[in-house]
Amino acid sequence: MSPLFRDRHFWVVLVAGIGLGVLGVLLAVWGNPQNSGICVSCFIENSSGALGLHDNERMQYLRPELIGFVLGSILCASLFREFRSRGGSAPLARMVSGVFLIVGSAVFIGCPIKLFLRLTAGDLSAIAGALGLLAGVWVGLQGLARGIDLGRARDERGATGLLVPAGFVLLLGFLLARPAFILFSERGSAAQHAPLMISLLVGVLLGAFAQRSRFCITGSVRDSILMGSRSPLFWGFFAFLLGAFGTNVLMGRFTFGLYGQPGSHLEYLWSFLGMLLVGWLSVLIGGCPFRQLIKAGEGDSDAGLAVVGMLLGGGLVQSWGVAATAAGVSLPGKVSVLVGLAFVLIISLLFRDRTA
Amino acid sequence: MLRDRFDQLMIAALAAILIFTSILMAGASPRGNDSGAASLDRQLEREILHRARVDFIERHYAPVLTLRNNGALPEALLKLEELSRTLPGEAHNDLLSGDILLHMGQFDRALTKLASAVRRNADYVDSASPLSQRPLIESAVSEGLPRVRDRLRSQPDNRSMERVLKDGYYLQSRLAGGCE
Repeated sequence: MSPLFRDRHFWVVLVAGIGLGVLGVLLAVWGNPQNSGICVSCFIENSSGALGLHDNERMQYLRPELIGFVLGSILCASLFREFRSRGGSAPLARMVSGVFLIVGSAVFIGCPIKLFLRLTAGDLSAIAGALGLLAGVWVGLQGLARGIDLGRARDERGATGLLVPAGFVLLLGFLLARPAFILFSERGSAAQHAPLMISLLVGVLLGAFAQRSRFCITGSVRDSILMGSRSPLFWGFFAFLLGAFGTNVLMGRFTFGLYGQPGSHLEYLWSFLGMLLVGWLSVLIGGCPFRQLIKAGEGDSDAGLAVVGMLLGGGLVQSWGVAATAAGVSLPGKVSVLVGLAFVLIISLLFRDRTA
Repeated sequence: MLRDRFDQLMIAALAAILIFTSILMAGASPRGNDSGAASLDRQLEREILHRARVDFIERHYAPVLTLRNNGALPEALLKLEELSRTLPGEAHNDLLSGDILLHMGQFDRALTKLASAVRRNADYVDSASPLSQRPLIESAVSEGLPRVRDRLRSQPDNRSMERVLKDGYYLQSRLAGGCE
């Protein structure tokens, strides 16, 4: 028996992966938009809209899953004494990276989790995005190997790591109390959602498992490139794909093809570039949008700033018409992806340690 | 914590602010105070505007619907053209054109018009919207797309038919749902 299988962490990663895959599909069965049972970037855009950061009336809902991810993470981190306030590593660069994580995802129409939920539902148009993500992670790793590093986070005095989780507790309060200044769509994709308590519980559960296992999609791709099948994340990723595919087939949600797929477009070059941007940035800042939420829950205020950037990005991509639709990618969307790639190149140049 | 008078002062101030905030929130009505309620409740304002728009559209295009229901399809198209001058770029004009063209058996033009309508107003594919026209769009896609594909097979260089095919795929994708 391989030593990997005797490692308890391996099984936690496996459960996290399969849970994300199965529940990611089931949330769509329970009411979330098709192929978007879990899509951190879509949920961020919805939540930004609910907070009044954009005025697309069809994209405004405080997604309980996001709140659950952060709360599940902080609960689990506190339980296992892993909560630690830390930060101070290129905070502004990380915040702007958060904005561009959402730009890249919005041009592709989906975060890395949704990318693979789309693929496992038979959506072949997501292949371009998958190749882009793979390329982005690979380029990011090349950069890391050549000394690009945003710097180490340091332990911080006080409880700064609690600020972002506290913000999400406040959002939970808004979600339950529904004050007049919080907007909720009554039609469009944001009006499609699973029952609140189910979404919240699934979010907490997945947040806890993701915190414990350190599982995320780009992290899995990264470790698979670096270590192959010796990495637990490789198997977690495989379990995620298998869980999502099996559930899609069992639930009759598997539609194989290129055309007419939900929430997709046929501009492959821009799908590729959008996900290239997401993959590359994720390697530089240590995780995809989902992982940033989990790390923010663990007390990482740098990840917290990336989350703030993501919320800002969620507002901007809708207000400026950056987000793609089934009709294709708009000019602002294309320009934003190119600006995002220029941004990654600039921070790569600025944060490169050339002494080694 | 509470090492000196300064700490104690800050704790006392914090407690006072929290108590004051709680009193303020407990005293306010759930939808805000009376004077600010109207300006704060954007949700209600938005809903009223949406309903007013739906009513307006229904009234504005009623003559077209009468002509269409009486089977006067070319006259209905002419009426639409006349109305488009008062409301240029209105999505409902494209939607009704698509509907009438579909009834006339002009599937390619119908698909183009319907795709244009949905691009401008996604409510037409939203089953929760009072403007929802899903059955019409579904039937245009299911009947029109195979015909367009057949024509493209026989005329592979037909660029305009390629555009119609893209419109058909666009509608198919919007009907399938997703988050956008």
